[in-house]
Amino acid sequence: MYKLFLCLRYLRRRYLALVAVVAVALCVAMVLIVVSLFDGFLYKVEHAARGLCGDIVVDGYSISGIKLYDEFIVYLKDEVPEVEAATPVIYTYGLLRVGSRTNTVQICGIRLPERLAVTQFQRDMFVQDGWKNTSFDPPLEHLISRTERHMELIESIIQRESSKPDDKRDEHLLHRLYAAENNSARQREMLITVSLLRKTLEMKRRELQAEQAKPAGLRNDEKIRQLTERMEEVTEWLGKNFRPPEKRVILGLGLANMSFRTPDGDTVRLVTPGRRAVLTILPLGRGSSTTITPNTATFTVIDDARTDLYIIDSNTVYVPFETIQELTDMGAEYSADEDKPGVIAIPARCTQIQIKIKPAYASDSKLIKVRQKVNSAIKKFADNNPFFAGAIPADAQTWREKQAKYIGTIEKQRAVVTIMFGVISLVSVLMVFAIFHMIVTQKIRDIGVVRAVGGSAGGVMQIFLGFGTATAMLGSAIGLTGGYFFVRNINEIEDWMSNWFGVRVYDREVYLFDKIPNTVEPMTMLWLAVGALVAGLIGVLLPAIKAGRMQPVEALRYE
Amino acid sequence: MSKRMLDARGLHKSYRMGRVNLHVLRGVSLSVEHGEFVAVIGASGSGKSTLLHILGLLDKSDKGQFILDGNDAAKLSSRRRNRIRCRDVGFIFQFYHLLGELNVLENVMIPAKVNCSTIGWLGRRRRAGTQAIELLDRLGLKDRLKHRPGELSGGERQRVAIARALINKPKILLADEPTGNLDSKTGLRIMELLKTFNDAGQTIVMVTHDRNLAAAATRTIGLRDGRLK
Ligand SMILES: Nc1ncnc2c1ncn2[C@@H]1O[C@H](COP(=O)(O)OP(=O)(O)OP(=O)(O)O)[C@@H](O)[C@H]1O
Ligand SMILES: [Mg+2]
Repeated sequence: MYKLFLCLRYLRRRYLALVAVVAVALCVAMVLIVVSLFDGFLYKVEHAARGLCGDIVVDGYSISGIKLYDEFIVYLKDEVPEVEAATPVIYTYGLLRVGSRTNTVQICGIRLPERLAVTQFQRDMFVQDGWKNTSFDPPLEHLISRTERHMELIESIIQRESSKPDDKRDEHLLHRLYAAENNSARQREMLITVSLLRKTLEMKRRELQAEQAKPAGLRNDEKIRQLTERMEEVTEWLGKNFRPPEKRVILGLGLANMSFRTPDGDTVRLVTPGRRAVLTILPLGRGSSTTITPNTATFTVIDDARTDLYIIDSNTVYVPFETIQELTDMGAEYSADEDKPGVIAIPARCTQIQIKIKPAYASDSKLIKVRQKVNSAIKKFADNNPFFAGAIPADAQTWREKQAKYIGTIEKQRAVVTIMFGVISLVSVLMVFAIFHMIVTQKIRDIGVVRAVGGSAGGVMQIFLGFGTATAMLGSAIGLTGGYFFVRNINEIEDWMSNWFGVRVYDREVYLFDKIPNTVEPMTMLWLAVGALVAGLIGVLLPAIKAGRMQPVEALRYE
Repeated sequence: MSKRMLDARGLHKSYRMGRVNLHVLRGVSLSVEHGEFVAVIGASGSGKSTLLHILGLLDKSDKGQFILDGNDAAKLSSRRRNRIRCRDVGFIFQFYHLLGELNVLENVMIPAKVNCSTIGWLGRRRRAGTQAIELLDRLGLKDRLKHRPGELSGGERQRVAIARALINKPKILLADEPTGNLDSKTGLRIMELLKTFNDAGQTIVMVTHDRNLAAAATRTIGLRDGRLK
C-alpha cells in the first residue's frame, strides 16, 4: 500500500520528477522527429528513384546507345519470366526555350503508355494527375478546365495577398501572381481557339466530303477549292500553335522560372499547357560526324510532372521517344549501298532500358538474383545478335545500385543522420538514466526511513520502479504527441520560421525534395515508447537495487 | 510475563575506516524488562546510536547474542526482521528523518501503511487515521496535521517523529537523543511526554549525553569505552 502512495507522492511533489518527465518527453520527441524525418527522406528517395527508372536498369556503354532494344525486350520477357514490362528510354541534354527563358535541361525520351507499366508517371501531374493512361495527348477540354482551375487558385491567392495591410503585403509576389494569371489567361484563350478551330475543321471536312460525294454534274468545284483552301489554312495554324502528339513536351515541375511556390506552399505555374517550347538538341547519336550541328524543334507544352526529386524535377523534360530518337540521330540508318535499298546499316538505338519486375520478386534480395538473370540474358542475346554485341550494354543494375550513382549525396547524408541519430538516442538514454539515478539517490534517506519502519527491500524497489515507469510513460506520451504534431506540421513550421526570421532552414535548392517529408510511422512511436520505458526502468533499477541492498542504517546515514 | 523484553550479551561492533579499525562496541550486555524506562548515557561518539540501531534491528552486531522479545536476532529471516521492525519496535531518530514530501499526518501514518496489505489498508484506513490524529493531539500537534516537516520547528518535528514511532503500538520504543537538538525547556517537555507513555506501560530505551534528562528514566546506565558501566 505504502508503495503506491509514496510513488504517487514523489511524482506529485518532486520537482525533479517534473524535470524527468520533461526530459523524457524532449528526448522522445527529439528522437521521433529525427527518425521520422530520416525515414521519410529515405522512403522518398527510394520511392522517387524507383519511380524514376523502374526496378532494373540497363544502360548503354557508349553514347551511341543500345541497339535492337525492342527485339531484346521481347527476348528478355521470354527468357526472364520475372520481368513484367520493359521500355526503352533516351536520355540526352539540350536547351529548352519557352518565351524568352532558356534552360539547359535533361531530355528524357519516353514511350508513354508503355512507360507507365514500368515506372510511375501519373503522380503530381498538372493535367493528368492520377490518370491511369497518362499520354502526350490528353483531351483538350481537360487542358482548358485545368487551366481555369489554376486561374482560380491564382485569383484566390491574389485576393488573399492584396487584402493584407500595406506593410505586410508582398508586392513582388503579387507582381509574379499577376504575370502567372496573365499567362494562364492567354493560354486558356489559345486552347479555346484550338478547340473551336478543330470543330470548324471537322465541319468543313464533312462539308467537303458531302460535296465530293455529289455526282459529277452537281458538284461545285469552286466550293471544294474554297473549302480545301480554308481547311489548309486552319490546319496550318493548328500545326503551328498546337502541335501534334509527337511534338509535345511534359515539363518537370521545378524548372527555373517556370513555376514558383508561394510562402503558403501553393504551386503557381508561369508556364501552362499550350505554351510553345523550343528544344535544341545535340545529335550525339552519330558517332562518325566530326562537327555536330544542333537540331531544333518546336513543341507544345502539354503537362508538367513531378518525381519529388528536386534534382530531377528542376531540369528534366519529357518528350516522345521516337521524336527524340530522330532529333538525336539515334534512329535507324539505312545502307548507302544503292544495290541494297531499305537495308538497315545501323539500327535505331536508345540509351537505357528500364525494366519492371513482378511485385513478388521486387524485394531487394530477390531483385539482385533477377538482375543476374537479366545480365545473362544480355550476354546470350549478344551472342546471337552481332548488332547488339557491337555495343554491349552495361551490366544491368537494380534501382538501388543505380540510385547510388544518381543521388550519391543522399548516402552521405544518410550516414551523417545515422551517426547523429545514434548519438541522440544514446544521449537520451543516458539523460533519462542520470535523472532517475539522481532522484533515487536523493531519496536514499527516505528509503532508510521506510526500511526502518519495516518496509522490505523489494517494496522500496517497487516504489522507484513504479516511479520510473510512471515518469517514463507520462514523458513518452507527451513527447510522442508533441513530436507527432511537430513532424506532421513541419512544412508549416518551416514556412512560419522563414517568414519570421527570414531564413529558409530547408532550402529547396539544396535538398532533394520540395517538401519536407512529414510521415510518422506508428511502429517508430511504439519502439520509442518501449525504449523510453526501458531506459527509465534501467535508470531507476540500478540505484533502487543499490538502495534495497543497504542496511537501513546505511541508508539513513547516506549523505 | 517472565520473558525479558530485550536481552543483549557481549555485543561487539567495529567500523573499518581504511586501515584503521574503529572498535565502537566492545562487549555490551544489557537486559531490559517490560515496562522499564532505561537511559543509556554516553559522550558524543561513544557508540550510543550504534547500540540503539542494533537493538532496533536496523543494523547487525559483529559478535554477541541479542534476543528481542524472545527472538534471536541472528536467526531471523529478513522478512521477520522487517515485520518486527514494523510492529514491535518504535524508533525515534536522532535527526527526525521525516519524509519531506509528506505532511505531518501522512508521515505518522507511514508505519501503519507499511504494516498493511493494500486491501487490509482499505479496511483499516479510517481507524488508523483517527488513531494518528488522537496521538498527534496528545502530542499537541492537532492543528499542524497538514503541515510539511519543513514548516515545523525542531520540537514539533521531534514530536511528529515520536508519534510515528508509536503509531503501531510497539512493544519497545527506542529513542536516540530525543532532545538532542532542542532547547532545555522543550527537551524537558519531550521527556515528560516520554515519561507519561512509560507510565502507561510503554517500554523505552533512550540514549542521551545529558545526565539531567536521564532523571526521568527508571534506570540509568553509562556507556564508556564501548562497554556499559
Ligand atoms: N557507518 C559508519 N562508518 C564508520 N564509522 C562509523 C559509522 N557509524 C558510526 N561510526 C563511528 O562510530 C562511532 C560511534 O558512532 P555513534 O553514531 O554510535 O556515536 P554516538 O554515541 O551516537 O554519538 P552522538 O552522541 O554524537 O550521536 C563514531 O566515532 C562514528 O564515527
Ligand atoms: Mg548518536
